[in-house]
Amino acid sequence: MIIQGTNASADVRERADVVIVGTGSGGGTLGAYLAEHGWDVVMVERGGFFRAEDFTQREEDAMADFNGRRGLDTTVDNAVFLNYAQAVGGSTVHYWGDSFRPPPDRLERWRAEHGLDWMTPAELDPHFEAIEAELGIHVTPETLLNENNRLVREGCEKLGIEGAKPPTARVDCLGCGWTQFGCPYNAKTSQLITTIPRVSTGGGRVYSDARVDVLHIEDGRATGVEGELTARDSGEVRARFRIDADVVVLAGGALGTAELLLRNIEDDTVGRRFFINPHYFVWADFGRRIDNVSGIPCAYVVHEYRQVRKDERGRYAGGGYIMLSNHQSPGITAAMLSSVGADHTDRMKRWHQLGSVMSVIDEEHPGRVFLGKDGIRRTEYNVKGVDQLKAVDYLKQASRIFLAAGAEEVWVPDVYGTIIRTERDIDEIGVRSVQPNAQFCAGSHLMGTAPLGTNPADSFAGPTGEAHRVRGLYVADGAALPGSVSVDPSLTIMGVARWIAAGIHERHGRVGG
Amino acid sequence: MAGRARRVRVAPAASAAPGAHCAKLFRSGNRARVYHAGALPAMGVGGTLFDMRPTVETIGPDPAPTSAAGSLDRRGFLRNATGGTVAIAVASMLPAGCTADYPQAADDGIDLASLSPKEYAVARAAAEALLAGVPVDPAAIALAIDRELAAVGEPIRSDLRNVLRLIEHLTILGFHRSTFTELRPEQRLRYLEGWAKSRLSLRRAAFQALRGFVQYFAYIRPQTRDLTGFTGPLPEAVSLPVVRVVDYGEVV
Repeated sequence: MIIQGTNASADVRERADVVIVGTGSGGGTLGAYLAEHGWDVVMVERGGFFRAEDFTQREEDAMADFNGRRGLDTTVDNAVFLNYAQAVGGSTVHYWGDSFRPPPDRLERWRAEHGLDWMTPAELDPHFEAIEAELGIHVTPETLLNENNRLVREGCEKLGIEGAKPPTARVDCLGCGWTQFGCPYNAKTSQLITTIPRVSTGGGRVYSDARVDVLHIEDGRATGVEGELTARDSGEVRARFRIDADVVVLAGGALGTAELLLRNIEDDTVGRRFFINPHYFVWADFGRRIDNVSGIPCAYVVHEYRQVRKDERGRYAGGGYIMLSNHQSPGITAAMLSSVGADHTDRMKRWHQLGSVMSVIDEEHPGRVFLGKDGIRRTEYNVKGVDQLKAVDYLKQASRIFLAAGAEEVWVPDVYGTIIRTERDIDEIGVRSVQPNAQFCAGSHLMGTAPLGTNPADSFAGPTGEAHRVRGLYVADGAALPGSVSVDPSLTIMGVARWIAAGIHERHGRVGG
Repeated sequence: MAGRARRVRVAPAASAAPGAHCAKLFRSGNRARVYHAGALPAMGVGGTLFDMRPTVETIGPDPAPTSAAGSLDRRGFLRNATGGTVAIAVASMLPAGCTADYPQAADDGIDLASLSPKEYAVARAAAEALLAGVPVDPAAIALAIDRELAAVGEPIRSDLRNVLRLIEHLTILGFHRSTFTELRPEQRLRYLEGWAKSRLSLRRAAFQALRGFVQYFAYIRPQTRDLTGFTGPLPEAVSLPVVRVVDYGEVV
């Protein structure tokens, strides 16, 4: 059953075996697993409930309807735009569907640095296999590569740079091109059309427009959540709700989970490791109309530079990021280009000629999430130190790829109007381009704000996902990851959530509710 | 103490009335923090001018200022803590502007939902300058910003309003004696470019915030599609069935 808070007329109180805050990659996966193992599941989602017919694929509708803070959220210094969804289905409603398993080297690091001994391919692979089957994840078919994707591949192949078509979560995709504004065809296998229906038709209740503000804890044990049911358009409070449960799972994303914890629990480990995988965008003008819209935005991924390379003295020498082929709608593109006046207008006149890639920087320096004195959740994040060098290296390598692919101009969209026309121009790219607010920077892989680990001084939850200091309280979303995955984290979050769900089921032994 | 559950609800954030934010800052004596504010967003304004930290770890050379405003900046007008504090705080404390001084909204027949008449006029003037050759009405852009800020609320609303006031009154940075709205469009553009290339993140951020809002709300409009060559999203052109029907059970 789907219960839309926007239609509520009276307070609600109910009991369940488990209440899950958040319905995205983590919450949806965990909820479906437990519901299908006999648990009485209630899920609560801050955002609205939108179905295929609600997705107009107009960017302004998507931003206002289901992007966090209407698509306008940024860090406090406003240098990084934070991109996340608030809707039933979470960020899978607007994600691109790239579905990577975590690289083995990353799992190895998490085992070594955070004591997460279970994070092995052998332990996780069965969960990934199940999820991949459920979501129909498969290597992107050639038919979904638009011309931008093919040009990125062509440039890589000419330069001998490693790349590949990514695994993607969609079945029978029409290739409309605007998956980030919600799929109107039920082809992208988001949580919205996969795990959520399995909960809602399996006896579970999914509340939308339900903003949790209280986490109930009694004698060191989580006992439920409480909050407001709100009008979708105005935010007006319609009613209050309270869900009592034996197990409480937080899966509201790295921001939502951190915010709820900060409001309710004093724990120094919350919010202080905020990873975002900074995205910088490079644009390339091919001097002719190219198909930069159809298919899916990212049908080609450049892997060559994922690992950091160091010189003989141990200094940074390149890498530490991947590149995703990318396209953006006109409004968002306009906001990403830092030029003004006739120059900006001229660039926008060439929108239909533009190829693009974006970075996923595997950062060393996380930011933090905190509550301001006014009680509003805020974030700090600085791209700094070696992460700036990674960003610069990315801008240079992306420029090389596009030049090799035949671009007439490559734009580093900074306030200095940096344009690359030849290999020689690439040397002009420097750290000034990646100073705060020198160009558009975004983060959409939000992770690490309530991380798992064995050390209670450095992690919010233990290896099982249960909080170190609050029994019966679990974290099972991007917040739980101990660091950057170095690739799109969606499938990692799902796999970890499913593993945590299996553990909850095994330990609590609740079969049949 | 780490890990101790408070079990006490922290009151949800209250939304501030327009102008209350600025007044509070003066009363609380946060002037030094005002100067050290970092920046504003590329597209949105999710933080606050007054919570921003001053430094980032810079491992390369800063750009050399290329404009008159940049030169002034380099000499320390805003890099001087006291001067910066006063400049920004004064701009923040300026009256919202009345219809008599800023009649543009009234002339456009607009009832404002979040911006003051002055702020509307600045947004409108910025749109006029920034959107050279773009087939949109600057008044429509200013109205869209007004409505968006009403919908999105705090802290974004207060922050962009402060940006608009700063832009209006710090024209001395561009060696202008007139306010932003009194400048000719080409003068406004050069003035804004000075903000864009400033060594101060605060100024670059204010520029990015204003520019991002204006350009985003221009290019989401269908009348710009001829300019960009965008053919619109597929659902606008053709109604296609879903590839699978999803059963959610009962929906209430």
